[in-house]
Amino acid sequence: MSTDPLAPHVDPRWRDAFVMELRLRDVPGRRIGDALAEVDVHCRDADEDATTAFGDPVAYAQGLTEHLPSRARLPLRDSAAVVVETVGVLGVVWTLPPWLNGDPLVTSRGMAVTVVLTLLVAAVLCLAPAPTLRWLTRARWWQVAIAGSGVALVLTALTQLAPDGRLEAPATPFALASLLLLVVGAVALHAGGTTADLVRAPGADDARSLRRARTVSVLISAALPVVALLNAGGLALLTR
Amino acid sequence: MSRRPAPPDPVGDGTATPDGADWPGEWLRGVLSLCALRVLADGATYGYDIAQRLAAAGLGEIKGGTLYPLLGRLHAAGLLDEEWRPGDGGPGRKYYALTDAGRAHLHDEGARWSRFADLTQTFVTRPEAAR
Repeated sequence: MSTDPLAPHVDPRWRDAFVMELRLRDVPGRRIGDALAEVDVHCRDADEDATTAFGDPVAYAQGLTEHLPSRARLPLRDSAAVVVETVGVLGVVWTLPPWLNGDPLVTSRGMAVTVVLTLLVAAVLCLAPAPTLRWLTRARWWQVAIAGSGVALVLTALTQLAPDGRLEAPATPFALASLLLLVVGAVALHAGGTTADLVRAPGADDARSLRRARTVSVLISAALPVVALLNAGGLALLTR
Repeated sequence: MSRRPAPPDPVGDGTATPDGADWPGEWLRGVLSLCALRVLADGATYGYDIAQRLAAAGLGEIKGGTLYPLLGRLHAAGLLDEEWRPGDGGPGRKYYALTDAGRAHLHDEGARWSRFADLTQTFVTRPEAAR
């Protein structure tokens, strides 16, 4: 039914909805892997699909979370890491091209409002309760379109309200600070443990599996800085 | 002509018993924990086997969506131990076993259930008073 080594007998759509619901409820990856493996083995033994045997994946996950442990959330620490990383990404993309080209840093009110609003959205998403995140994952295209248009309208209105004027500053200190924040944010995300909490099969707690989880966490944490640096490099070449 | 009201939903998506009857879900919900513990009193086993034995006992088909949350609650209450055991050339299964507390619970609650069942049977089947 599926090539997923964790749950080869479970329909991938059922599996994804089940894992997503448990993730939204902060169940640790090891416990998610345990529950998923149990579903898989039952489907294989009973020769039934997951919907027939377990019903709706979201309802089943909700029933399980009554007795499953949940990961201790540290909303402030987690959101601080995300906000620092977001500042680093925005800063690098914005400041590196003029720095590499030897130009001063130029900003406008539109850019400043965009940065502030982006940080606000990042912080709100980090602190949002599970029902809000669940709604976002199931939103239809027109709901996403309305939400996106709303953000764009707010952005435009705030830009008009902000004082106009062209600001110039030396690019070097801002570029170095952005690079520092990019690295600090990536390290904080990795150290927070969120990126290392993989869904693991039962018994996969050996040193090899844990090493793999750490490697994946490092790669995930490094991916965003690498993309930001590539973007900044490309922009520097285009604006030379 | 009046129609009979539909019976309450059975546990899972239908609990057809050997005599063709469907046990109402609300009856099964009250006794399923004890029945699962009773299966495990015969020795450690895995979820699907528990479901099979319950079906063979006439309780009907217990769906995985009902059985595993129940086993999870019993484990969280300290009445069951759980352990993944490797399979023969395939993926393993999670085995459940009674703890001492589970065995004591089965003994005590089994006796109480027996008294309750006797009481309700006597009450429900006693002759109706003449009006």
